[in-house]
Amino acid sequence: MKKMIVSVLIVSMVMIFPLIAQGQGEVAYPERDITTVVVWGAGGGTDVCNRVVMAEMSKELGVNVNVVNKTGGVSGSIGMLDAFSKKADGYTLCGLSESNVTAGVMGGWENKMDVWDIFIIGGSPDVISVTPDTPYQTIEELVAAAKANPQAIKAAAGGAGSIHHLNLLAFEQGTEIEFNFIPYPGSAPSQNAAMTGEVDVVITSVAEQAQLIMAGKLRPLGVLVEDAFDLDGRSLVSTFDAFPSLGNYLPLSQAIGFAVKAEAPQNVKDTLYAAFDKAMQSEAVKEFGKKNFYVLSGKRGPEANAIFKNLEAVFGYTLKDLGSATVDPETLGIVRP
Amino acid sequence: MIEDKVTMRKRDFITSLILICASIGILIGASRMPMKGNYGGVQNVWYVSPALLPIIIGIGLLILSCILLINSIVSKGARGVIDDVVAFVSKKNSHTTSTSDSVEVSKKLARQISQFRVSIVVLVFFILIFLLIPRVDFLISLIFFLLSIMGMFYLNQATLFRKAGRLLIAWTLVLCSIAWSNLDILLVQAFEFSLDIIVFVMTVSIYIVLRKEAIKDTETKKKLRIVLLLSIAVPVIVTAVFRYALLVPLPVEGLFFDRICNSIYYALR
Amino acid sequence: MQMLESLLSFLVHIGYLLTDPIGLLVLFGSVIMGIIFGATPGLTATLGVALLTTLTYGMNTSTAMIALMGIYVGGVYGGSYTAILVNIPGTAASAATAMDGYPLACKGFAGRALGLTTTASAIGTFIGMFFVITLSPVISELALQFTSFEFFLLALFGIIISGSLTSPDLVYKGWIAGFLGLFLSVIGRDSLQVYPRFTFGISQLDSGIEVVPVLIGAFGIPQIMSVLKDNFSVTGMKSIGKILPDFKTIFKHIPVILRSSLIGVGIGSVPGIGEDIAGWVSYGTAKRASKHPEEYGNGSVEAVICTETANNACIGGAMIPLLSLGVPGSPPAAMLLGALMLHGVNPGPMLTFENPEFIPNITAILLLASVAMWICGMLLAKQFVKVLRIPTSIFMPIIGLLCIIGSYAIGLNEFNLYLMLIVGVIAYILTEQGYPIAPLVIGVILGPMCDENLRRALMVSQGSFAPIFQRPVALILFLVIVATILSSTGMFAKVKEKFSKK
Repeated sequence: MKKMIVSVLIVSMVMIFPLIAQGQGEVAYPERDITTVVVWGAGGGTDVCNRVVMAEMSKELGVNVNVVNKTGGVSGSIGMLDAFSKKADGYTLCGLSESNVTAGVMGGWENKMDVWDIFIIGGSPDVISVTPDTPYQTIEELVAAAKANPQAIKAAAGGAGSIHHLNLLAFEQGTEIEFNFIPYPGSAPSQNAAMTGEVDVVITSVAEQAQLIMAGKLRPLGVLVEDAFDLDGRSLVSTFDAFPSLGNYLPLSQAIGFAVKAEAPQNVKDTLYAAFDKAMQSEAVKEFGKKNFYVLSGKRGPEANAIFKNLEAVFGYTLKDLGSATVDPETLGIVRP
Repeated sequence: MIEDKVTMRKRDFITSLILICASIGILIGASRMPMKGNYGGVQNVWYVSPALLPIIIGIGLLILSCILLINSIVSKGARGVIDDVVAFVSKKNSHTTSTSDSVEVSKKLARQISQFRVSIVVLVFFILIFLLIPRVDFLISLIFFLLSIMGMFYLNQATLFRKAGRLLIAWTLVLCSIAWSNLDILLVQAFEFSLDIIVFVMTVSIYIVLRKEAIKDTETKKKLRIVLLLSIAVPVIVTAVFRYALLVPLPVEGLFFDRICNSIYYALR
Repeated sequence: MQMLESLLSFLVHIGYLLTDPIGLLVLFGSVIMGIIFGATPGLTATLGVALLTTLTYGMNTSTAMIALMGIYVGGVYGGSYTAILVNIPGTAASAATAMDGYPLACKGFAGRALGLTTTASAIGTFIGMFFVITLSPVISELALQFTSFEFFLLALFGIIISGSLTSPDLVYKGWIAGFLGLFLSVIGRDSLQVYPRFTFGISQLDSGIEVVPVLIGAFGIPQIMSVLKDNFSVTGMKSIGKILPDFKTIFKHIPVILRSSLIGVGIGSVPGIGEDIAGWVSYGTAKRASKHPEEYGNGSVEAVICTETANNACIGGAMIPLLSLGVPGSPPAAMLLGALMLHGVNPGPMLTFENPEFIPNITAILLLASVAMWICGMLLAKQFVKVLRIPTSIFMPIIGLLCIIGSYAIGLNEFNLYLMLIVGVIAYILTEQGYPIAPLVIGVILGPMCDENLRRALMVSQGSFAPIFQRPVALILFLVIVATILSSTGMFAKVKEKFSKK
């Protein structure tokens, strides 16, 4: 009998509890810990940037922000789908980068990037470098050699369809040359291949190459943005100086950041905006950016969404032209840039 | 582990046929992959094609499974399978049991029992992984898992296995039909925690069956108490450690985890 | 001269760490956490480092490094517990340990096996650390000799070695299992052209099949099923035996330890591959070189020592390219790189100029971590062994629960659980029919490396195999492979002889 009463008590408590705990109407935000689902692997650029910024934001928000990684699918589709399947209450954020814009055309999910409200932390410009053993001292020499011998110079630039690959393609178009593109699964293996001499040319971001450039393991020929880049007192010239025509195709900048579902309530977004702005102004984030050669952006809201919309179009149609897009960007309603 | 050679060769015969089909499937799949032309910004040649390794695997597997097939035929495994099939068909028509040896019968019975036990384990894993974890509160799912599997195997009684097994199959059918008819989505829309409550009821029903069996003697009663205690304590501790100490989000945090554990956690903090 | 200086600074750091009580507390705490992590099926050192990165963000760099190195060392070692005691390797790194550790435990030497792996792991870590302080520049230079051809040959070597893990039934059943593993590994978008292979339009398969769910499915689920099936009291472990460091046996196996450490450091220092491959390669090599190859698989002490030495020596090896090039040598090291960047340390060639104290500090931590691991291991193993007294029908379901949450936590993905169960049921059926399961797991681990690098190597050389003979490292690897094949066909001949005599 006694046990009976106890079990009835337990069951009724279980049933009543949710009713007590459930609140309605305009909810204060944030009351609980926030989870940021980073769609790329732990230890990578997107992961590290998000961890730094989230740590600062959690100070502003007054709750913990837990950063977890959920990788897989194509272009991080598994992580994006997961974050997207959660309620639009602002308790789940999605850590992402520019490369995720291809998830749609690669058949990873059926949405466009406009389902997100995006916050851009920043990115690092791409730099074109060669193995020190090669004879090319300047970008002009490299282009001349490639013109003389199309398809002979081997180039690496991360995986097929990555931002670095797109930069490589744009560079080829802008200078009217052809490299022999050798795909690697990521930036680090591409750089290793350039160091070992398996490939001659590598395009990845300054942040990823900084250490190798400073140690003389790679020879930088120029950055793929308009202005020269200062690498710890050493100036990396812009490739635009020698080839102004590159301006038609470049720059295609890396954009690391995170996103909240676009349908989240405005008060949630406003709170996040304020915390994000504060975090981007903090010493820790600035110091991190400087040390790791990231150009901080801090764009958010419509401005950031526009950048991603453009990236989505550029990536989508480039992949279509390469023949590796599984879904036609037009069917997704993406307009050709 | 290895049973007598004849049964092994019989099984080899069947496996080899499956493997031959699989390897042909792999080769067909591989032949559809791009062998030349431009794909993904890379100029394709045979040695660059994504089909390279699948073709090697397909051919390798085909050769090996053919060897297996030939071996099973030579060592009379194939003959055995055919005999079995013939025996099975003729058994349907006549009531004469071919086995007269009592040792043989008890061996067969033992094998059937162990096969039944294995299928129970697989069934509980299947319910947990395919039916519960994607939809239902993680905590109650784990409690159900431990309670049913520990209860059945620790109490370890033949009658219990039959009864609880039947109950589990019935619940599996219910859950499967809910999942396949997409009723789960409707249920959740109607009331957020309806599935959690269904699974709670399922767990209680398993407990009742266990308890009915255990009430017979004090020894089993004591055992059941241990099972109940562990199957609640272990999931609570494990999920709490993962969620709060290691900051791993759980698959579904519903009625039990979100409303109870989280509320307690945030109230205490 | 420079070596002396770094040695001196290394000693200063050890002294400093030893007098820091909080640091020591963190060290022991994280090593114990690492061991528990490693011992839990599905939770790997990589995940441990990843989760601790979040938790240590607020600490200062030195304390955070102590915690991260502690969990790394403990995690790689801890996998051997479950491998030996219940035949479910806690991590991929200790899968090779299960091959002989579990038979040893079945014979009543569980305590001895645990004692040996503890000491072997500590020595392995120590030797790895030794290489970090002395030969870092040379080894990182060597690691840069690895182009696609070398990676391919290394993967091929691993696959061929797995051919020696023969089936108790028919020899070629091992090969069938290996091919099935290779097939699993090609599922997903191929990494060169992102072409979807055998994905059947399932988005979850696009990124390929993860190793951890396959590992747990292949080893864990069948073990749980077969133990519960017979209500089998875990092994006939009537006696567990005393847990002793057993220095005598260790001393006898010094050549094995040295060779395995070299293999571990070497494989660790090659970018991108880590402890799991080190364990298998060392196992295969030791078996080939052993005077008693027939003992392997039936509880060889030598085998247990060699795998555990190698996978822990791999830690030091993986740190070498990480610290000197900024290129992580293994998956946990990749996570470590991220953690270091969070703390404002940029590993790479410039590290010695920007932060000259850092490398001696890390090596000092590594040394203390190996000592802490040994002490904790010796104490914890005694407690862990007690779980064997719990009735299996209670114990195995809990292990099952840990397998599930472990497989889930690695990618936060329910799909991994589906995969785990499906692979588990298939693996159970295969084991029942006398197929060895280890080659399947090796196939899944090495398949992508083999596929991607072979195709890329040929792409670079435009279809020519000539670079194998032009590149020194490739040539050595090639000769080793040829020798392995020749020796195994020799073995085949012997086996045939035996059979024909019968």
